[in-house]
Amino acid sequence: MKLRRFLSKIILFLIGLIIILFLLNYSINKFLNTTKSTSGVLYIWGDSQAYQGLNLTILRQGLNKIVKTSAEHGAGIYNFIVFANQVPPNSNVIIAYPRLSFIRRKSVDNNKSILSISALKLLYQHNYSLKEVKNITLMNLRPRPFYSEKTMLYPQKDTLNVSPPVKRYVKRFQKVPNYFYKKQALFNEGIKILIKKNCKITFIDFPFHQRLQHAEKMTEFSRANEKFTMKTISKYSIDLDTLYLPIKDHLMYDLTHLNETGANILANDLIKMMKNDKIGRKWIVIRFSESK
Amino acid sequence: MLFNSFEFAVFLPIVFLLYWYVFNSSITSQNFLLVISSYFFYGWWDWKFLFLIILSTVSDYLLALQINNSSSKTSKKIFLYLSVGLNLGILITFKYFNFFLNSIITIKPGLSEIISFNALNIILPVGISFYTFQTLSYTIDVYRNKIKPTKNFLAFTAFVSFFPQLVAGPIERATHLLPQFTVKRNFNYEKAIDGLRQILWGLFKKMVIADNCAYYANLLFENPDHYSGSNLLLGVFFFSIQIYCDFSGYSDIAIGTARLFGFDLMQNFAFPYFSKSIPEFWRRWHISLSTWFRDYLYIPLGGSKVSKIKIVRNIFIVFTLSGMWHGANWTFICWGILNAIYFLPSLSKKFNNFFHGSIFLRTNIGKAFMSLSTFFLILISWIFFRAENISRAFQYIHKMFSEEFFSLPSMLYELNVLKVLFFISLFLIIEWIGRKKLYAIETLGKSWKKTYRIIFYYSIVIAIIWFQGKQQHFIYFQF
Repeated sequence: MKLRRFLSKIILFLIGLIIILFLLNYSINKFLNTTKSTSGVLYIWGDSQAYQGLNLTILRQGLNKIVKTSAEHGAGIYNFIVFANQVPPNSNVIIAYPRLSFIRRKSVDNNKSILSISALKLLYQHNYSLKEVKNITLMNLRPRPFYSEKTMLYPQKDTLNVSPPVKRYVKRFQKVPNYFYKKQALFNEGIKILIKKNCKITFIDFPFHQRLQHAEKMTEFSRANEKFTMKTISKYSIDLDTLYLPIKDHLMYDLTHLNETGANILANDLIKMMKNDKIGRKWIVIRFSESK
Repeated sequence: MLFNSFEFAVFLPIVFLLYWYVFNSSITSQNFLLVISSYFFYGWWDWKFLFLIILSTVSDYLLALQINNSSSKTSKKIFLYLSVGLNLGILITFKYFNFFLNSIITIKPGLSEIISFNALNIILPVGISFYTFQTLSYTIDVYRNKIKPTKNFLAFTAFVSFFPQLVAGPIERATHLLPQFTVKRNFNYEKAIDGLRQILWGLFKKMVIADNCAYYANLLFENPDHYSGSNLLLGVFFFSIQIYCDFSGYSDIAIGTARLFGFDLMQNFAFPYFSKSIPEFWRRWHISLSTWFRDYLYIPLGGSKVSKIKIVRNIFIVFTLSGMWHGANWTFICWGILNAIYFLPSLSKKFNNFFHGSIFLRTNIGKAFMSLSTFFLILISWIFFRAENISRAFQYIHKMFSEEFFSLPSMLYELNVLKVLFFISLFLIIEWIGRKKLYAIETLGKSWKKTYRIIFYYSIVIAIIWFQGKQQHFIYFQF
């Protein structure tokens, strides 16, 4: 009898906990993340390349819009699906094409955002294991603001930070793992959601440092990304454009991230391109000019 | 599996339900289940090291019987020495073999080629320092006639391998724990609820306090050159809180878990950071280990009943070995020696008379001053405990006591640091309120209305879920 009483108390406590957690999570997330208007807002998603590589102040002033970013270091594909679900219909969005996120191991992806059952379901349908889904769920039990209006830019330094070295990247890029394509498939699902919502999308393919850019060319990683880009552009009738950055200036902080100077140049160039974009779907590939 | 892992959250309810519903018919079946589940629990880390526990269990069971059955004192001693030799032999081989070899190389670099060839690539089995001391205390107590050796091999195996305290203590005495395995346990509702409350508090200490402190402690200890003296002071403060909450949190979970199965384990921490003197600190910190060293080393060496020089010698031996118990590194030995030095003044009658006689020190401000001074001394010793090596420890201390020691730590401008300090403050207040209890929230809220009690428990659980730090291994697992 006492054991039964004990067990029933535990079960009731746990049921109560699940209900309270769900209610708190839902209500606090709603309070923190509901955006009332969409016309004057630009939404950004990406990993550290976007987090460190876009000057939001310049974008804000140049486009005369509120700029909200959910870019984060190591952002994973779950994060992107949640973003696609969260963003209001008819919104202006910038998506950083997450090349590095595709090759990053799933266990080290930063999938901390907000709890979304539909996003978790989509991951499971795309061969994420129950354990992986459980881990992402546990990461997202705490409500948090999904967007921020602040970012950090890497300072310009005299020497390039080459850790990890080019060799390490190229070794990694030689052969892509299976989950690479699964993550790309999920990325495609996210794009579908945004297009269904009639969002005006600008994709940005951030550059690598010219040393890595050159070394990466003959790898399976490079081929797989190019194939995906072409397929997506063709499927969704996206306007492809290339933006060349000059290599005479030091625009990179390390092999994969722009520094403050690079971020400022990019923001200014982006503003011009976005203002001239009539279609509402643009894919901008940013590379260092090889001829100079 | 870690106590704060999903695997343990699945393991514990299954074992609990089997224990009380399926294997509840007799002592034998209860003990049988505990042995199987404990071996499963330990084997989850590395099944290959199960043979060590089994070896220790079988040998000490048989040797204890031989000690008891021997008629002459000499043969009793021989069997005792066999037990000591075997247990310490296992411990020394797995824990200190490479340390001794590397130390020899440091002194005689010319021997490096020969020695590195012979160095073993040994993995330290989890919990080895704990269970070897536990079984050793059994054979010693049998020798001393404090306890009769048990003929119940299953009960003894369950005593040695009992999963809540197997990998990180408390180091139980056979006189206290073994008899509990020889009687049938009946479910006790109040005990089980109390156990759950203690588990909850342990999880809060570990996941919210310790794991959040760990991030900043690691940051500062790994890069002391990048930070000012005041920041480094904050860093060692975070480490002090981390190690206390990590270890006492584990003990709370262990004790609480044992209560779910009807067992009482000894208290391992009694709010040590509120101590007003170093001897008091050592009566409150890792009680199971310090009493083990007191009863099996300090007292046999003569304890305090010998000449002053020998008392000093005994203190240094005990603290040095205590340091070594924690790890195969000179930093732990330094930590032990430093604590021995701290202990010495308490041997002086004049010193003791001064403190007991001082009017100021009997006031609340005086007591607070004593507690803060004791805490500061312990804090300095933790630098040796945490640092990678002796030179880094001195580097840390030197940098800490620089001209920026009294400046405001720049880390206080970080929101996350303030968040962690807020939780530490809340934690210390709750610990202070509950300082006369076995654990801080033992009776907290018991007199409240049911609604407020439930809100209190839900608040702790939600704090654990929402504010846990990045998962860290329990520090004492490495010992």
